[in-house]
Amino acid sequence: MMEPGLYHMLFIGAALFFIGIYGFLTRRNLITMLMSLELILNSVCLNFIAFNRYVWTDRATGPSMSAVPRI
Amino acid sequence: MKGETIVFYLLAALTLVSAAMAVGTRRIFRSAVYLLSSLIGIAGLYFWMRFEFAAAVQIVVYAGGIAVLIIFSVFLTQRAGDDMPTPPMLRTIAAAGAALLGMGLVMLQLVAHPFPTPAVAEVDRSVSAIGRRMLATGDDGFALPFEVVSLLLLAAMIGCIVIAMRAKPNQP
Repeated sequence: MMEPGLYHMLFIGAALFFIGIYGFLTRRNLITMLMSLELILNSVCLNFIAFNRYVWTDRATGPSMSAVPRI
Repeated sequence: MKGETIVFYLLAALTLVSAAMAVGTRRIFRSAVYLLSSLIGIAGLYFWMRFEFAAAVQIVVYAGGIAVLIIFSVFLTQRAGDDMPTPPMLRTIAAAGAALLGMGLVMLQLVAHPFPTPAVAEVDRSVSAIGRRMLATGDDGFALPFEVVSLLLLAAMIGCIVIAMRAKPNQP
């Protein structure tokens, strides 16, 4: 158990993205495909916020850009 | 181990396990509820990283808006109690293979890439600072994405009106 940092957040983002990809490819139903798409968009938001928290802390890029996939 | 670390791993487990259940379960309503708990876990991760505004927006927009919208559309269009048909075995294997392969490639890139550690002080992350950046046109501003998103919303609104405005059959 390491101290959580950027890599942990990026791992969660990547895992969410590929769980969403798996759901998007297996489901036939439009609503469940939309749910998988929501997972993918959320992983993108999580990556924006994580980079803003751990790498480029001098810009408020994360909260601003993560509003874009939310809309 | 610090309490902060334990909270992080709990939130990560909540997010990932409920996301996996959301794409794996065969009942569509359960899938929506698992998606809701995964979104709440992501909001918890934002709180853990001390992005309070992003976490609040996540709870209001996703847990309060989109999840409820999905549950309503499930109730209005599907028979929520029935099992969904299982996908064909070949499709499941191919999708799992694609996802695992992509995950492996991303993780290979991730462990090989050193990220720079921040040397500068943290920026003001209050709501007013974010709002000012959303409309600033300078180097650190996001006026162009903001306007592009407003165009997208306008197109979505016009599309809704066009879908809702069916022509009545007996009118000239």
